[in-house]
Amino acid sequence: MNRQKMRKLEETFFTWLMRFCLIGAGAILTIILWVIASRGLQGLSWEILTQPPEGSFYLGGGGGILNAIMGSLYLATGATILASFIAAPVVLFMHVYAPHSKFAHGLRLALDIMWGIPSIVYGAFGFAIMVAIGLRASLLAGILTLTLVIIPILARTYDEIVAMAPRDLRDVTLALGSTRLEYLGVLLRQTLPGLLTALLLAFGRAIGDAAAMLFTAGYTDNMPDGLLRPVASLPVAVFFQLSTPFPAVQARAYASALVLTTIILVVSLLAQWTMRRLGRHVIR
Amino acid sequence: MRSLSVRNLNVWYNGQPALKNVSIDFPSGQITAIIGPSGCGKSTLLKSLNRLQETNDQTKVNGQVLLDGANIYDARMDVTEVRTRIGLLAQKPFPLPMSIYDNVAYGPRIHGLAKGNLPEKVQTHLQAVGLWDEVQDRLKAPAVGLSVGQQQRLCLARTLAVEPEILLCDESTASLDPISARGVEELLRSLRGHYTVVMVTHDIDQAKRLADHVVFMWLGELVEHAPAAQFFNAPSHPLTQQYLAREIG
Amino acid sequence: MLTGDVWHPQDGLFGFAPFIAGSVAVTAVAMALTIIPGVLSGIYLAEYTTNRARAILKPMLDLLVGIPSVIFGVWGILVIIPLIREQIGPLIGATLGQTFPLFAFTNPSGYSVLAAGMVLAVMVFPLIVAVVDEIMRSAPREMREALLSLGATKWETTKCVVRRCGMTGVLAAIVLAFSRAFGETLAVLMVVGNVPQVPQSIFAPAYPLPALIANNYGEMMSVPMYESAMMGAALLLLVVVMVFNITARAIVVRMNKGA
Repeated sequence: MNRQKMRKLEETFFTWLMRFCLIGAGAILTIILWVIASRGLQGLSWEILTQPPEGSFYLGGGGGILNAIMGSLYLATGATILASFIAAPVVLFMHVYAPHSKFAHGLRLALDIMWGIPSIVYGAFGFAIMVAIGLRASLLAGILTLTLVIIPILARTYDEIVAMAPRDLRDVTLALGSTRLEYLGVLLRQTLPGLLTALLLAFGRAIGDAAAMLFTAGYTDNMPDGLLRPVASLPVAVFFQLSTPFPAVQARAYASALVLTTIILVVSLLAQWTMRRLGRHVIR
Repeated sequence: MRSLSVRNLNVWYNGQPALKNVSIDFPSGQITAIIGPSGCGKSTLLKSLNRLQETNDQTKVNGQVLLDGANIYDARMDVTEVRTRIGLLAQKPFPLPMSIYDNVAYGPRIHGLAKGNLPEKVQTHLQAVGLWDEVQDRLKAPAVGLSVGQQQRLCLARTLAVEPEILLCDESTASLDPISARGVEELLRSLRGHYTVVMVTHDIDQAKRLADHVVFMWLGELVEHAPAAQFFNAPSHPLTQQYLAREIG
Repeated sequence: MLTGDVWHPQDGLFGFAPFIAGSVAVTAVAMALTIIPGVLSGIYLAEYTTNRARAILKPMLDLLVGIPSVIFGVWGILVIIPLIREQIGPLIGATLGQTFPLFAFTNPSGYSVLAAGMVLAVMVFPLIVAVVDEIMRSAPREMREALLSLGATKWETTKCVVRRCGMTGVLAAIVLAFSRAFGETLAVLMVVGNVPQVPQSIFAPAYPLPALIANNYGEMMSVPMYESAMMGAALLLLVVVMVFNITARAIVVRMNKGA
């Protein structure tokens, strides 16, 4: 009977230990969001959201971070569109023509490894290539580098969603006498909500990435004004403003962090929402 | 030998009723076979008897299962003790991913049974299922290396090693080849008188060969429960008659 | 270059040792803090939660994954740094630090290996949870039922499943988390202090490889050899991370074959 008690005790102990770990993680997430929100709100103003920086911005002068907000949106949108034009056809092609081939296997492995490469490495090599071909830090270079960063995310997420499409869909479509290309179209339509989820996830990752942007997109106080001109981005703006010793500028860094977090949370929640809808409305 | 009875047992799975108001007394020391077409709730009933059904969190159980008069669904009842006293032999043999010896020794170890004489205990149980001669020289080999028939006998030895009072068998011969199936069947027959056995089978002939009592289920309801001879020779319910004549199911 | 421990670009000295040591130290602290809670949480998520609780917890973890590096850096500066400076540092320095130099509170600023490790620990936590959860859920249901039927408690069942099926998966999770932490840049850069030295204490500042690249890439043009040194650093980072990633994949592939 004593042994029974020991086993019970062990069970209870570890159950609570595990719960404690998860509760701790939840608490930390809450603290992060709370700290960002409370400090960010103190520095947030209409001016920050709607104006680019003025001359003495980094000494505490007037202006805002509209340049970084718009820059980030351009960068992330450009990269997401570009990446989707590369990743989606490859994934669909793979599933229609060679679902279980060595090619598919190797591609997945390559994408997984690409996913694991830190974005600072993309930034460094992107910069090296830019220097080699004479491209300066610019919106275009930033978009190209970010595209490389998010292709694996987009492709692997979409890949898993396409893989959930029922096998019968393939058999039924092909049995009706469709060509494989027509089946590809059917598959695309079937997985469109999933593609949207993948796009949102990739967009969220792109907009939050700073390490790859540091050298490739550069930074400027101007609004984005051309593909070949440097462009500001939110994460880099947070980083630069925090590096100054002035409390007023740091307060704006927290406000910028809040703006970034809000965008990310909205995108994340949208992605989760589309994912859930996907579960409900698409046949599996 | 302990008594096992079911009183007004209702089980819902995913909001759908899977068992409707079932009440049975399982005679002690005898073999009771539960038969019926697939989806009739016979496996659900069996897994409700050792509270394994509830590990699926879409399941809701209501009613009583009395082990020696004590409801196993009572809040004060220790689930692990219930499952120790009511053993289950699964449909597919699933040797734990460890050695043959450890498979049998696992139960006694966690329950602290057989301090000091564990090897003897393992030997006894392996002998009881007729596996000892086949495996005694490779007790440390992984159990997955055994043939499917040997695996199922090992699983039986593993179940009996925790010294249960009641044995549940969930179509335990269904995934075996005919010869191995016959072997396991012989073993179950040898348990008559030592254990109260409740078995689920879709094989009417197996029920004829083994059972002392037969329960017929249909769409979650208990239709007929009778001693085997009476059940097969003079079934009283029209559904049972049609099922035995293989007109339905 | 790999083993040199002097970093004086102006004199042509590019010793990587302090940066490699910085990366390893920061990652090691992060792993030490996060592995056990991460694995336990992953197990809990896979084995103990109801579908409804899962439907709440899983999206929360996904949110944590989605938070950008720079936000973790801001959090580190606002919360972790003061915590180390005012609470953890003095406390551990006065106790463990008296006997073990590893815990000596030598740097009152708070910007330290420990700060970076703590931030990284939070960042890779959801990654470990996700991988462990996935591995545990792929363990056969029959095994769990077999163990429960023998009267094993839920924890005994879990232990057995982890030991017999999940061990390699847990290993893969750890390796993946390690490589993620190793390459993480901005959050670390913001809280680690960036002093090119081999850290002697968890409270000492360090200068990991990604931070080196991030801080110096732009200005490298003026100094000879600087560019190749930076490319070398990026290459080193790439190789280390890829080796770890491929190892993790190999573990998972071998496990899937075994099962």
